[in-house]
Amino acid sequence: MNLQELQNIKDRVKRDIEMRGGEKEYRVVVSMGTSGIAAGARDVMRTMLDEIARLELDNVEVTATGGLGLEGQEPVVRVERTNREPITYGNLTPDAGRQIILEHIVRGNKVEKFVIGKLKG
Amino acid sequence: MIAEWKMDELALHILDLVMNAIEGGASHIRVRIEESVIQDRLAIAVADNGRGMDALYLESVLGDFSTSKSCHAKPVGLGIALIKQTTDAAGGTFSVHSKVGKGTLVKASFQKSNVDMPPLGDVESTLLVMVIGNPHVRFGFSIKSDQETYHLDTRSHQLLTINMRREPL
Repeated sequence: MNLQELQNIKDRVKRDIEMRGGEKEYRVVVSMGTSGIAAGARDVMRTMLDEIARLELDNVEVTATGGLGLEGQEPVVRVERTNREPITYGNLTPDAGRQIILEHIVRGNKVEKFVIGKLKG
Repeated sequence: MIAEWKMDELALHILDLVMNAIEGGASHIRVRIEESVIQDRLAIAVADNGRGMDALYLESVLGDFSTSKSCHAKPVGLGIALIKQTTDAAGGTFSVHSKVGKGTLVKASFQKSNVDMPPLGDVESTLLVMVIGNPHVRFGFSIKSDQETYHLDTRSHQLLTINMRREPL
């Protein structure tokens, strides 16, 4: 890791902080316990953050949590929207994470093929 | 089951230790990476101000976790057990110091030239995910090489300032 990379991280974090505050319409919670991390949750979240930054979305915040208890279906992400039932997605890849941002956060439609949990079947 | 979990980057171990610390109630977490070509050494450390673990609990965490049934509903120290496993496999050194009510310090170091050493991996993603994903936690991060040291500090819970300092050797 060199200075340039650290500088990028600094700028990125700074920008994220500036975007913080106020009620966000969407909250994306990423399951980041050991099983989630081992299954690839970090890279799913990174891709989602990149997509949010690329599209300059300011109606969403992404947080990490210590595991949502769905070990068999990691990586797992829960999308919460004001006054709506949360939607839980599982078995995600970075590309699936990108699709969730594009479809769910930008257009407001849940991405049926990645939905898991009680909503399935 | 646990033994099958793959943590093939040290950066993933760091993230796991950080999330452990947060589960353990930490509000301030410091991560350090030291890489020396001259000493053929790579060392990582994660220090937190969380609840800490007593000796008995620590022992159970570091026990033969691949066969233990994990008696705790939330195995807070699991990340510690995993990095110990990785360090052992790569002939590195590992230590953990923890004090109830004070926090935990986990250190691991490796010989860089050891073929079994996992790669450091994507530190950038780990840092972004841990900082952005945990807005209420203050993070300190330092990276040290043979030539220089850099620090990032997200300061208070509002993350108002980020400092970077370059130190000549």
